[in-house]
Amino acid sequence: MMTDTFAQTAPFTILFLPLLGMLVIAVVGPRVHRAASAAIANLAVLGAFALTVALALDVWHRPPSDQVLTVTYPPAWAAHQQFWAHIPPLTVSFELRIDGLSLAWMLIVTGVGFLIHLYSVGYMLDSRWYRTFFAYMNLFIFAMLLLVMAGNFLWLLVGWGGVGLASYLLIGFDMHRPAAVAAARKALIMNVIGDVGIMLAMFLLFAHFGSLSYKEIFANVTAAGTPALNWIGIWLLLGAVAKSAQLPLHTWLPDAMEGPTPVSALIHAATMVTAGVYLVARAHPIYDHAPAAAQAVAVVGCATAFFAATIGCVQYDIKRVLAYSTMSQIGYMVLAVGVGAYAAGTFHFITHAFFKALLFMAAGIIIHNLGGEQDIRNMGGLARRLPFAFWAFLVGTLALCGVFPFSGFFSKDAILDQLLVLHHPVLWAFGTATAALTAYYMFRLLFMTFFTGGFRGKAQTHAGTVASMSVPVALLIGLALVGGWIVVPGHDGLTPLLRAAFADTGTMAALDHFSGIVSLAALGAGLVGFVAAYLLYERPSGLRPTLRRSLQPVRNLLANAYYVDATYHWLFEVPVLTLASDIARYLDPEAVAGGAAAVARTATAAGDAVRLWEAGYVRRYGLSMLVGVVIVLALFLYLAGGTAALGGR
Amino acid sequence: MTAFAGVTISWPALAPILVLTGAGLLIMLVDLVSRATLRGLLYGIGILGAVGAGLTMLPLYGHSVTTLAGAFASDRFSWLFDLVLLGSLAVTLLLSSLRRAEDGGSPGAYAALLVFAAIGGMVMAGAANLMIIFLGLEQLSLALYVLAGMGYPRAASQEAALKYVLLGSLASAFLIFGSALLYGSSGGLSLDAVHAAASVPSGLFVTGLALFVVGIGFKLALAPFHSWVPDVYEGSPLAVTAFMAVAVKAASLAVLARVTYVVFGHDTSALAPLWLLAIISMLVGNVGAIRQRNLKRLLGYSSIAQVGYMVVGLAGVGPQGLSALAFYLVAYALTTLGAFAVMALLADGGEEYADLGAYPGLAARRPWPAAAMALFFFSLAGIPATAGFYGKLLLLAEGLAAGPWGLALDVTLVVGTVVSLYVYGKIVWDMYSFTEPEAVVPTGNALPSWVAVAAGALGTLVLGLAPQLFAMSQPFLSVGPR
Repeated sequence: MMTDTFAQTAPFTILFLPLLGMLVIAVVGPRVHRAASAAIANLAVLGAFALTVALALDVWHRPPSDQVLTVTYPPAWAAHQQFWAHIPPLTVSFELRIDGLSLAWMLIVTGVGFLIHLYSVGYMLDSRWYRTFFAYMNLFIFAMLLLVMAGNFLWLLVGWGGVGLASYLLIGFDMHRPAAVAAARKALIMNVIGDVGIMLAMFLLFAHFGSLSYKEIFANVTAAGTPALNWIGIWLLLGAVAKSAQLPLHTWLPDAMEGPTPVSALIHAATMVTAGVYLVARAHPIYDHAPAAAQAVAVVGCATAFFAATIGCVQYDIKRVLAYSTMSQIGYMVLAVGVGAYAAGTFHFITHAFFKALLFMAAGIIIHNLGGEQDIRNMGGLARRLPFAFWAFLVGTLALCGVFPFSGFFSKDAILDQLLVLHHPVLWAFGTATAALTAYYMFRLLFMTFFTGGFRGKAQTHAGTVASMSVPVALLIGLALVGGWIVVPGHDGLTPLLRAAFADTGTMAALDHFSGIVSLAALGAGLVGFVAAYLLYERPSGLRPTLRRSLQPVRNLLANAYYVDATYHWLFEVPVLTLASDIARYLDPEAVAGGAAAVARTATAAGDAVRLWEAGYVRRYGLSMLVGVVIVLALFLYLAGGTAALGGR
Repeated sequence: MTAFAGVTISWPALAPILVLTGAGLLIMLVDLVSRATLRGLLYGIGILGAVGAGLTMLPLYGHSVTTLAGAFASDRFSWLFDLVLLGSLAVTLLLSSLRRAEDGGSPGAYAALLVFAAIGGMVMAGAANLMIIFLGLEQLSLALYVLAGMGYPRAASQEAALKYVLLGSLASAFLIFGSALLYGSSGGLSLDAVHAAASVPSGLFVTGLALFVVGIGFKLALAPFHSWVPDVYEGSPLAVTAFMAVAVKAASLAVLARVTYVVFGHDTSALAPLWLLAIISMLVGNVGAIRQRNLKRLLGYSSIAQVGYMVVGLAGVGPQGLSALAFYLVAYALTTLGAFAVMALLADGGEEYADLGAYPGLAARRPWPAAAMALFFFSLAGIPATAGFYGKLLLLAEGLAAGPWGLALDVTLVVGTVVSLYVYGKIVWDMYSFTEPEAVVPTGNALPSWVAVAAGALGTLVLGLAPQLFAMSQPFLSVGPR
C-alpha cells in the first residue's frame, strides 16, 4: 500500500520535528528556563526517533517490491503535475525517499543523535549559550535527515549544505577562541569545495537525464553512457571526499575537534562525516555503471584508511587521535561502497556510530573531569580515578579494533571479507594492515590515558559525571557490544532490509559469509598492534627511546600529518592573501585609511549644500553621467551597424 | 466613452488616476482649513485615496483599453505597476504619519506631493506615447525634488534636494532630447509609430534611443548614472527614500518595459547597451554596498543592483520575461518597503535609525524587528523561502533563454548575488551576534510602522513559499507590437 496515511505523513513529521524544535527554542527559549530548551530539543529528536522506528517497522513488514517509497509533498501535487519549482524543462518536487538505506541512516541519526542530545544536557551545563547550542543541534539533525531522506539531488544538496552550516556553527561554538573560529572557517571552505562538486554532478545529471530525481535518473541510468557516468561519479566523489574528510580534503576534520565534545561525537564521528558513504551508496546505480569512478572511490577510501591510521599513531590530543581514527574508519566504509559492498559499508557505518560516539563521549567525560585537559601526556592512571569512563573507553576500543564479539568485529570483517570475495587482494592487504595500526594507536591512547604510571597532570577539578551523561554512555556500551550481532555467521539480519534499496545492483552479497582466514588475519594484525603498543607504553625498556631516535624523521612526517596543511597554506592561502593585500593597497587606499576617511566624510556631509556645490561634487557626478552618455551613445551606434546605418534615413 | 474634441476618452480606464487626483486635492483643501491636530487625517485621506484607486481598478480587469487617441493604455501590464505604485504610496503615507512638526515641511504639502508623485508614476505606467511618458516622469520628479528637501532642518536633506534637482534636470534634458530625435526619425509620438521606424533604424533613431535610455537610466539609477543615489537617499526623509526606492523604479521600469516590447518586440538586440548597463549596475551596486556604514546609503546601492537584476527580465524574450520582471518587482517592492518600515519603526519618527553601528546585537534587544529585517535582507539576497529567491530564479531562467548577452547577465547576477550575500549576511550576523547590548534599546513601537512591517514580511513569505499565487501574471501582457 503506497498510499496509506502513516507512510505518507510520518516522513514529513520526522523531518520537520527537529526543525520545529529549533524554531520553538529560538522563539520561546529566551522567555523560559534554559532547561526547557534542552527538554524541547531532546523531545524533538526522541519523537523523530520513535516515529522512525515505527516507519522502519512499517516498511520492513511490506513485501520487498513495496519497500522503496517516494513520498511527495504536498501529496495532492504529485497527482496534478504540480511542482515546487517549475522552470521548464526543469521540474523539482519536494519528494522524500524512504528505503532500507535511508532508514538505516535515519535510525542512527535520530537514535544516536538523541543519546548525544541527552549527553549534552549535562556536558554543556556550564555553557553560556546553552539554548543556542541545542537550537544548533536540532538544526543539524534536521539538515542531516533532509540529506538522507531527500528524493532528488536538489534536496540532497540542500541538506548537504545545511549540515555544513550546522557543522560550521558548532565547530565555532566557542567563538571567543580564535582557534575554534579558524577551524570552523576551514571546515566550511573545504565543505563548500565539495558542495561545488555535487553541483557540477547535478548539472551533468540534468544535462543527461533532464531530471534530478533519483527515481527517474536511476531508472534509465545506462542512457547516459559510461564516460558521462564516470564524470558524474567523480564530481560526486569530490563532494563525498570533502564531507567525509577523505584524502586530499581531510585536513578540516582534526581541526574540527575544536568544537564541543558532543558535537565531535554527533557530527564529526557518528553521522555527518559518513554522508559521503551515504552519497556513494545512494548513487550506486551510477557507480555500478561507472567503473573508473567506483575504482577512484575505493582507492581514495583505502588510502585514507591507511594514511589516517598512521597519523593517528603519533598524536597526543585525545580527540585528535579519535578524529584520525574516524577518518580511517570512514575510509573503510568508502572503500566498501567503492568496491560495491554497499551492505558492508552500511553495516560498518552503523556499528561505527555506536562505538565512535561511545569513545568520544567517554573522552568527553575525561575532558570534563580534568577541566578541559585534552593532552594525553598530562593524563595517565585514570583507570582508577574514572572507572566508568575507563570501562566505556575499553569497550569502545575493543569494538573499534574489531575484537570478537564486539560490534566492530562483525562489520570490519564483513568489509575485509567482501574485498576478497570481490577480488581486490591489494585493497584487502591494506585494509588488514590498517587493522594493525588501528589496534596500535587505540591501545597507545588507552594506555597513556588510563595506565602508564600514575597521573601526570596538574590537580584535577572534579566536575562529576551527571546521570544525563552516564545513561547514554551506558546505553552505547551495550550497543557497541551487541550492535554487530544483527549479522552473525548463518544469520544476516541486515541484508534483507537493505535488499530492496539495492535491488538494481549485481554485487549485493549477503553479509553472513565469513571466512576464517580473513577473520584470523584481521585479529592477528590487531594483536600485533596491541603487542607493539603494550611493549612500547606499558613495558618501559630501552626499546622506546631507541626507536624514537631512529624513527625521528618518520615521526616528524606523521606528527605534521604529511605536511598537507603546510602545503595548502603555501599553495593557496599565501598567494591569495598576498594578492588581496596588494589589491587593497593599490586599488583601494581608503580601505587602508579606513577610519580617518569615514570621519572626514561625515564631517563633509554636515557642511552645507552650497559648499558641496562649490567643491565640485555635483559637477563630478554630472561629468560621470556625461561620460556615461557618450559611451552608451557610441555603443548604441556601433551595435546598430555604425556608419552604414547612419546613412539610412 | 465620451468624445472630446474628436478624441474618445474611456473614463473607467482613467478612474484610478482621477480618484487619486481627487484625494490629492482634498488633502490640500483640508490642509487649508484644519488644525495641527488633524495631521493624521491628511495622511488618512491619501491612504484612502490609494485604496479607492485600487478598488476602481477591479472593474477594469480583463478589459484592456487604449484611450486618449492611443496615448494611454490601461492593460494588465499597467495595472500591475499601478498596484505596486499604490501600495508603495500607502506604505509611504503610513510611515510618514510619524513625522513631527520639527522634521520640517507642512504635512498637507508633504502628503499631497506624495500623492501627486504617485499619479505621475501611474501616468508613466500607462503611457504609450513619448509625450505622455515625459509628462508623467516630470510630475513624478518635480514632486520628489521637493519631497527630498522636506527634511530641511537637516542640511543633508537640502543637499539631497539640490543634487537631485540638478542632476535630474540633466537627465530630463537627455530624455526630452532623445524623444525629439525619435519623433524626428519616426514622424510620430506614439510608441507604435516609433515601432514602425525601428525596423529600419537610422542614425537619428539610434541616437534618440540612446538618449532616451540614458534619461530613463538616470531615473532607474542604472550605473553609470547612479552617482546621485547614495547622497540623495541618505539625505531625504526616510519615507521619501522608501518611495524613491520603489515607486520611481517601478514607474521607470514600466516605461522601459513598454518601450522595449512595443518598439522592439521579440528582437531586442538593438538594446544591447542596456544589458551592459545592467551588468555594470549589478557589479557597482553590490560592490559599492560593501563598505557602507549607513543603511539608507546601503539600500541605495542595493537598489542599483536590484534594478540591474530586473533588466535581465527585459533581456528575456516575450511575456515570460516580463512576468519574471513583474514578479521580481513585486518581491523587491515588498522587501524594500519592509526594510525601510523596520528602520522607521526603530526610529519612531525621531532620529533616523540608519547608522549600521546601531544594529549589532539588535536581535537581543528587539527580536521581532530584527527578525523582520533579517527576513527582508534574506529576500534581497535571494535566500530560498523568500520572494527574492524565486524572483531571481525566474530572472536567471529568462537570461538563459536570451543568448550570449543573457548568459553574461546571468553570470553577473550570480556573482552580484554572492557579493550581496556578504553585504546582507554581515548585517544579519551583526544583529544576531552575541554582542552585549551597548546602545540604548530603540523604543519605537508605532502601529503604522508595525502595519507596514507586517505587510512586507507577510508578502515576502507568501511569495517565497507559494510563488504560484502570482500565477495571475503568467498569461501576461497585451502590450506586444500591435
